[in-house]
Parts: sequence; structure tokens; C-alpha cells
Amino acid sequence: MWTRKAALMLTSGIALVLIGMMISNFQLMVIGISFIAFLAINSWVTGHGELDIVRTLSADNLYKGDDLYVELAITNKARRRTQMLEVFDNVPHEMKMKSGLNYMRINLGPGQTTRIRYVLRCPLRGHFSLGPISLRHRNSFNLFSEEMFIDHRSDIIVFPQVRDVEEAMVRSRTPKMYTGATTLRTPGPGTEFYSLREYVPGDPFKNINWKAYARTGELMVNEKCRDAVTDVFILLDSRDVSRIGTVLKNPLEMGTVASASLASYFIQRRDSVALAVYDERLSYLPADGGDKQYFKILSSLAGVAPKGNMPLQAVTNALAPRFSRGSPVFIISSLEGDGTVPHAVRDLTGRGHEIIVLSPSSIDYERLVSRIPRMSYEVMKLERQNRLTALAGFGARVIDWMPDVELSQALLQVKMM
Amino acid sequence: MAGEVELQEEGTRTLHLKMLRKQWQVVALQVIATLSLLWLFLQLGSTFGSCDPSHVNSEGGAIWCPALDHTMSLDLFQAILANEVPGYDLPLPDFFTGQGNEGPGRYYVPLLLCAVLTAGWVFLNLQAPRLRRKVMLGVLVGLILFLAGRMLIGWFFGMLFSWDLYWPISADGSRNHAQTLVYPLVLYTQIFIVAFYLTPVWTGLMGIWGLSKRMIGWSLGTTLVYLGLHALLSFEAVTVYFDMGLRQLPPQISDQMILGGMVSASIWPLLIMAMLLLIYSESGFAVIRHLEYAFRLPESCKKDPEYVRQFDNLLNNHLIHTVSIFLGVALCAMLALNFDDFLLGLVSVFGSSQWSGQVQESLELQLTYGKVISAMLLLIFVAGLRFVVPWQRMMGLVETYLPQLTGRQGE
Repeated sequence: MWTRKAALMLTSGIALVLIGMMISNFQLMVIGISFIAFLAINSWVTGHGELDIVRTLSADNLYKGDDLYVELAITNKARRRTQMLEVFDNVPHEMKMKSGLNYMRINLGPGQTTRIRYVLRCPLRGHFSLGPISLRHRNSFNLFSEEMFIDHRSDIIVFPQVRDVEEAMVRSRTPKMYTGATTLRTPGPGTEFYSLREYVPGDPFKNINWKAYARTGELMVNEKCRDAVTDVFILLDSRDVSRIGTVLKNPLEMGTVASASLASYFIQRRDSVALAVYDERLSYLPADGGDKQYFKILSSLAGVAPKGNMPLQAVTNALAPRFSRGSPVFIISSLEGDGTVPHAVRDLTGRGHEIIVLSPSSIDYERLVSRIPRMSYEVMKLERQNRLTALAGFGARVIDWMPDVELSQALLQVKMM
Repeated sequence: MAGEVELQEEGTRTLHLKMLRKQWQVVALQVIATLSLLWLFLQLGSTFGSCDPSHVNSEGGAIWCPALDHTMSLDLFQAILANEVPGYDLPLPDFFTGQGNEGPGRYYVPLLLCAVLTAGWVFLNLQAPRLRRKVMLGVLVGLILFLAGRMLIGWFFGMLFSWDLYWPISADGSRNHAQTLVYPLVLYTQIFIVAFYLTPVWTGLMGIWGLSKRMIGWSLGTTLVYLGLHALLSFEAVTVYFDMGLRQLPPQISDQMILGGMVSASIWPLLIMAMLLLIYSESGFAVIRHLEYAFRLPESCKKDPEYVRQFDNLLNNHLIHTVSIFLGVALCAMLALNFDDFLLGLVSVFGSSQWSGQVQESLELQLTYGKVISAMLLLIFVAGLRFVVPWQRMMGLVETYLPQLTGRQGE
């Protein structure tokens, strides 16, 4: 493609030749011809984008606020120079450049390699993709250029931050409420030895007892005692109303942090955790334990976006058959714009569930972005307080979570209320 | 793909402006641009720096014309002043202005002064803004004081000693303090005349060494405007009504050939000027373009050896292209301007048929139109050669295998 400079040079070259001819002035004609000759010779020199580009990331998954190290190895695989080549690695706009730069002007000889290294800060959770790589080559005198893409993408997941909540939970009013792992005298997944049995196809090799095999000559596997776990249910409100506040501080962001932290805490205690996210529809992750479940929960939370307006009662009704008897249920919601919350809480407590409502104060989040008259603020705060009191009246433990309060501190309110 | 990612390294060489200003490739480009500019101006002076020999007064003396010769204007200025005060000499000595010299000798010292002025200006720009402001203010105050200081002091003490209030302009010589303004005003006018004629040079030098695109633009603009004005004012249809005495360029190309018959002797200086104009503008702007890129890089990248290596590659390649491409352009332009002769020679090969005879005698092909059209034909052919000659690939092969032959591996 011709650059503006080249187009200008051609038109001025032709114009000078014509004017020179008109007024019989050889100087103008010679300048015009030189301009056109300059273009003609330069048209021989073209760059190219035949490159091998490999992007290496320091991690495929990371937590919100973490740094991502990126390296782009660029190799000229053609048998000619690239000429002046601009390489730009497209980065999601949600990420911030911490050091280095995702752009370089290069001029690689045949087979040569260079590296672009930069560090990104990931202040927002979500599923992101780095790439494609934009290329633009031009000749030395900036006369001809061409733009192209190399469709090389790297997907990354930024999980919500996980806070330490152990201290808070230990201090809760019912320290034995969550029993954690207790062994049962039945075989199943667990840690303690139960018995030896013969190997059957499909048993994992790591369970084979090699000493017993050496002794008996038959493959024997170890069986473990099944650990009993508590099922914990986390219901996260991701309705449109939960976006109130700033991009970094809003009820949904705080909710994802709380969900991830609680999941981490309980899974570390070998409990099973189920996650239900409701927005315009219900996404449910059945209760399970272990690292895989933890990863699933974090991935699910990373992709949560505020939308829809599903009532909580519809969620509890839909999940009622899946709730384990007496299992604790965490409801993480700002409680705004949903009249069914008291009914849902009443139903759950009626069925014997321990309900903990963790409610980010959306009024205070709104104050971060807009000015609310004092009187209106007081009235809304009072209304909210009434709502929380009503829920407490139905037997739920309610936490009013203010924007500037840490999660662990907020959870201490369970004890105080 | 997750893996081990190394942090950006820090090398000994960096892309800070302070270091880049001393890098040989940058300096080489600046020197190329500077030499081109100076040579261009000298060439302009030798081509457009004199009036038509017939442009003389009744006594045979040369009359002023808008040729690119500041000494002519200074002579005229001096003559005007000498009419008022016989034997008046301009404040700046002829040595500084080049008055009284002939040929390129008229320009050497003013060009040197331009270089000194530019060096001072660039040095000043490298100082802290506060000091820069102080120096600029000092120079301005000095100029104003030199202009009006003597008059104000003389007027004040005149009023004090005569114990009377009066205006500084008076028919009475003892009360006419305005005459002290004449010397500085004449000096400033003299400097202005020299600076006006040398605008392309001092703006260009400031642009190249002070890294200012605007200044280079001014330099190129004033040069092109001058060429345009000269072409217009020396055009025959204009000179019939309004002859300013400018020397016209020859309307026909001379038969005298140079460089082994490649170019006509009358075209050669014009071609040199066109080439120098291109080399100057491309090199001057390239330095600024490259340094702007380096300047905008974040600190970590300025220290990264990969960025430094690629920056070197860019500059080296630019230098190679400056030499090779401009040689190619000069050769191509010479061939293009001589292509009509080649065509006529080719036609003569076909013998003495009626067609070849008609073509050889055709005035259209021999005169300007034929020359330009045949030149354009050659340029189109040259542009099309890129699809025929894979010279970039050939160069690439050399670049690939040469390091292997010399035992060096590509990075």
C-alpha cells in the first residue's frame, strides 16, 4: 500500500514535470523525474511478514492483581530481510502494561530471531485472550507499507482474588458447625488405610501395593477409608443490579472474591463445595471437593458478568432437590431489587439449612461513583437495614458488608450479630 | 502457552537520547543530511546566484535582481545608505558577509556563521529549561538595549544636563538622540538580509541537529518556493512583461555530455540539486523519526539489548539504503533523461528505412516532450522490474550464507 508520503511524492513529481514542461524549466522537470525515480527504485524494496512467532506466558491461569510475564519470540523464516517491521501484540484493554512494551520496530535478516518481553498487570478477573499479532512493514523511506495479522492467540483466565478467611471462621459462633473431614469406616476416596483387595482393571496404578504384589505374586491395591465431608452451597447473585459501583469495586466483584475465598477455605478443609451463580439464568456447579473442583469454581467465577434479573426464590426452588440435608448455604447478594429473598431464606431455614447472607452494601458502592444526598442515603440505608433485620428474623445470619471492610473482618460479624 | 519467561535484560548500551546522539549511525545520517544541505545551497548559489549578464544599467553597472545572492542585496543597501551619507560602510565587515567575493566565496563565511549559530542553539537546547529561558531572555534584552539603550541613556542625561523636557527627535543635533538608533538598525537589517537569504541553511541545520521536523520543513519549503519563484520569474512569457533580470536556465539540453556520456553537462547540476534535496530531506527526517521512536520507548525497553540490537539494525539498514537507493535513483534519473537518445540509437539500428528516418528526424522525440515521455517510459519499466528481478531474495541469500562462510551465526 502506498503511504501518504509516496502519494504526495508521485503527484508532486508529475505536477513538477508538467509545470516544468509548461514553462520550459528543466530544473522543475528534473526534480519531478527524480521524485518519480525515487519511487520507482524504492518499489523494489518491500518487507514481508513471513515470521514464526511464539508467545510464551508465565501462567495460563492467575489471580486478579497478579502480573503476567509475556515473551514473544519472532523469527524471520524467509530468505530476505523483513525491512522495517512493526510488531504489535494485541493485549486486552482490561490489562495494564506494567513494564516493557508490546510493540517493537525490527529489521530481521534471514533466520534471525528477536524477543519482545513485557509484563502485564491483570486488575480484572475474566477470560482473556492475548493476540492476534499485528504487523506492519514499510521500507526505509516510509513510502510503501502493508498491514497484516498473525492469528496467534493465547488464552488466559484471571481468577478472582482469594482472601484468607480461616481466622474469621474459627471465631464464628458455632466453631464446630463445619465438621470438615471425618473418617467413616467404609471404603472410598480418603486418606486413611482401609484394606487390601485384588486389582481390577481401571484401578489407578498409584494405588497398587507393590510389597503385597511381591509377597503374593498377584496385583493388590490399597483401599482407603472414605472421608465424610460437609457440602457447602454458595449462591452468588450476578444480576444486573450487582454492577453498581466502580469497575473494581462493586457488589459482584466483592461477591466473586467472597465466593472464591469461601470455596478455597472449605475445599482446603476437604469439604465439598457447590456453586450456583444466578443472573439471567442459573449456572450450577454440583458439590464436589478437590483441586479440580476448586479450579472449576474459580473458572466459573472468572467468567461471571452482571446481567439479567433472576429472583432468588427461583434459584432455591430449582436447587431444592440438590441441597444436602442440613448443609450450610451462603447467599452472596446485595439484596437489591429482589422481593423474593425473604421467602427464599424462610424456605431454606425451614428445611433446616444454616443460612449465611453476605450482603455487599450496594448503597455505599453507589456512593463511590455518584453523589447521593445525605437524606436519601439515610433513608435507603434504613430500608436496607430493615431488609437485613427481616432476614435475620427468619433465622439467617446476615452480614452487612461495607466497601472498605476486609472479607475476614466482615465474616466476624456472624459472631457479633 | 505457559512456560519460563525471562525478564527484560539490561545491557550496557541503551536507547537514551544522550547516548543515541553520539551513536555513529545517527551522527553519520546527520552529517549526510548536513553535507547535502550545504552542497545543495552552494549548488543553488552557483546556478541561481547571478543575474542575467544583460541586466545592467545605462552605465554598465549590474542592477539588483532577486537572484540567490545576499551580497547583491547588501551592496544595494549600502548604496542606498551611501546616497545619504557618502562613504558609508555597513557595520558588519565584508569578511563576515562575503561582500566583494565572487562565486561560492560569497557563501563560505555566512555558512560557517550559520553552523556556529546552530551549534549554539543546539547546545542551548540541551541545557535545563530554566537556564535556556534565562539565556533567551538575556539575548533579547541585550538586543533591545543595544537598539534603544544608547538613545535612552543619552536622552535622559541630555534632559538632565540641559534641565529641560524634550522629545529625542529634533532638528537640533545636540537634542537629536534618535540618530543613535541608526547604527543598530543598520546592523540588524544587515543581519536580517543575510539570514533571509540563508533561511534554508540555518533552518535546515537547526532541524537536523536540533531534531526539529518543523525546521527541516521550513528549509525545504523555502528552497522549493525559491525554485518555483525563479522558474516563474524567468519564464519567457513573464519576462516579456516583467523582466527582473534573472538568469534563465538553458531551454534546451546541451549536447556536451559528461560521466562517460551518461548525462548532459547542462542537466548535471540540476540533477545534483534534485538528488541533494532528496538526500537531505530523507536523511534529516529519518534521524528524527528514529530518535522519536527511541525516545518514546519506556525506560525498561531503552535498556533492553533486544531493542538496542533492532534499533541498530534499523539504522544500519537505513544507511545502506541511503547509499544504494540514492545511487540507484541518480543512475535511473540519468538514464531516464537520456533515454530518448537511446531510443533514437535503437531506431537507427533498423537501417535506413523510411520509418526509422522519420523517427530520427522527429522533433517531438528530440525536444522536451519527447525527453520527458521517454523518461517516464523508462521509469515505468524500472518500477516493473521488481516483478522480474528478485534482488531482495538474492541479497537475503547472501546475508544467510555469508555469516556461515565467515563462521558467524545469525542472531
